[in-house]
Amino acid sequence: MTTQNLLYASNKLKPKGLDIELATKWLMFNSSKHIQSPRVGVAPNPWNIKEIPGHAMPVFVPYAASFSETTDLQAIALQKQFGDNDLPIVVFWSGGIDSTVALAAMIKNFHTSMLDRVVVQMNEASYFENPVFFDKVIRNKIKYASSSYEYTQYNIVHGKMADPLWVRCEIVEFYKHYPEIIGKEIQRNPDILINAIARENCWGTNNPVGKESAIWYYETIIHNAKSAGYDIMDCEDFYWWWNFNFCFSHQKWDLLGYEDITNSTVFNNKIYMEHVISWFDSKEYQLWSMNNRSNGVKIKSTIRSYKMPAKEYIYDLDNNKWYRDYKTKTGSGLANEKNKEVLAVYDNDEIIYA
Amino acid sequence: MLDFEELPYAEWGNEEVAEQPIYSGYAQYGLYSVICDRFVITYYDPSILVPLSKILSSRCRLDLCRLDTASNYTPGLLDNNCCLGWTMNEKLSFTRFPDFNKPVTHPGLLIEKNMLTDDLLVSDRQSFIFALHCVIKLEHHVNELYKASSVMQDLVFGDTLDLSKSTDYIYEAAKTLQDSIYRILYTTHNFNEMTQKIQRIIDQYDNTELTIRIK
Repeated sequence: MTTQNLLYASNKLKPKGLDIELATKWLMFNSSKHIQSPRVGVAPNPWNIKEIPGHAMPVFVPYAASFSETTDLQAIALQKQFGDNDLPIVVFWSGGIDSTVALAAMIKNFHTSMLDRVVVQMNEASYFENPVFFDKVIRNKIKYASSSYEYTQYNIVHGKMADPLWVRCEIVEFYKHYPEIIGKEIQRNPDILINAIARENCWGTNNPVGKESAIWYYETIIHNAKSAGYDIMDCEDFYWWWNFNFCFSHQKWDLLGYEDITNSTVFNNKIYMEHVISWFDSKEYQLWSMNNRSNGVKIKSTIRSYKMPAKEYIYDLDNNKWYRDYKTKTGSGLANEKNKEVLAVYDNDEIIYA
Repeated sequence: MLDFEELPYAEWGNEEVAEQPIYSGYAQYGLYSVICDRFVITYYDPSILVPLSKILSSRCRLDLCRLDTASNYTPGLLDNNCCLGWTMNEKLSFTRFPDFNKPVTHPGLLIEKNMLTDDLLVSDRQSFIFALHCVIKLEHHVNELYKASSVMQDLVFGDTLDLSKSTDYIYEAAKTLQDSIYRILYTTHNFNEMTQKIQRIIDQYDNTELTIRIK
């Protein structure tokens, strides 16, 4: 009998024969529907989720390219990859920052013939989130649609996996409500962060996390970083590491429950991995992220500055000052609705739906 | 350096909005900007502020707050001259869309903070918001005038007094007028272009009672 290794788990997947208390504690800090698991370092892993084969965290090396340069490099690399087939390139565009960066990069870098293959998959919500980009950049220039696709017939591009490259977005709320933690070396004075975490509510509830759980959580993340050779500096670094190490992988499957997927006659994780490409899933993007820790590039203590290099990249194309200066992180959806919940993905390509 | 390519909104309506009276005994509402971390406009009528926040939703997030629910609120405590010196003490989930129709209410809502001294970008954008506020008020006014004058015309000149039928038509036309104006506000960024388009829409109604000219 072949042993299956779990690659992805929804927070509705009950752990079998595991420490329920530990699993419950771990779930308290999940601010999403996924179970978070570390890519590197020592940490509790109640569901024993494995790393995605071929998607390990790169070893740190100095990397000097800017976000903009890295994005252009990714466009050139993907253009080469798309040259291997002649399938249409469907970009899931929500109008949010990440998917707009992907689309902007294609427009800036793709050859005309490659751009002719691009179809923007969008809906009304995409337009309402970014009408200027649609009117200035997409309308009358690029094909767009709101329809269903048989995934095996297309290259699908999405903007997921961007958030873990930045800093966990909760930091913008922390910076407003606990400004005293900005830039502080937290390991010398951990109470300042622990107290802030303790006052926050557990995910999906009105119950504060509490001091004891906050300490457990703080120590878990710090210990994990140390065991992987990273020394956490300040609050931004803390939230970056949590995001980058614990939340990067599972976003790979964020499109798995979308209706197009489940309408496919033959579908498994192998087909998904071959046809669905995250724009931000590259070694270079990760190195950019690892080389820009707490240096004011990802956020400069204000909400406005969050993801500013990405917003500037878009501004370069559409000159929309409002979007650059006032766009906030929002929980934007992709063009299609999910109609099935994914419980688990295994390394033998099996997908279990709820 | 400010770029006033969208002029003349900076002057348009600023004085009128800034000097709105605070009505004692009335509710007072404000729009809170997450990015600025300040209130950018206050007004007593949410039927103006709600469409304003919706029209601006693709440009900046504005949360509707009922200011008079704050325990430290008194009439005249904050107005449009000083609301940039006030922030909200209520926790918001910045990553989720605001509920346009449900104002944030809380006894600990209001906190005074330093007035802006150097963030010209914020005051520039506030001027744009003031200007849009004036346009929406104007649209409400035009709409009311249109409805009133149309009913009068129908009563005097109509072949029939089937008011239920004509009233439906009038309200449908008024809604069309509103939708057209809001669509222009939503999609047009150049203020001159915006006001010209709206004037053309109003002119189409060709109603002698509507003598309003956009500035």
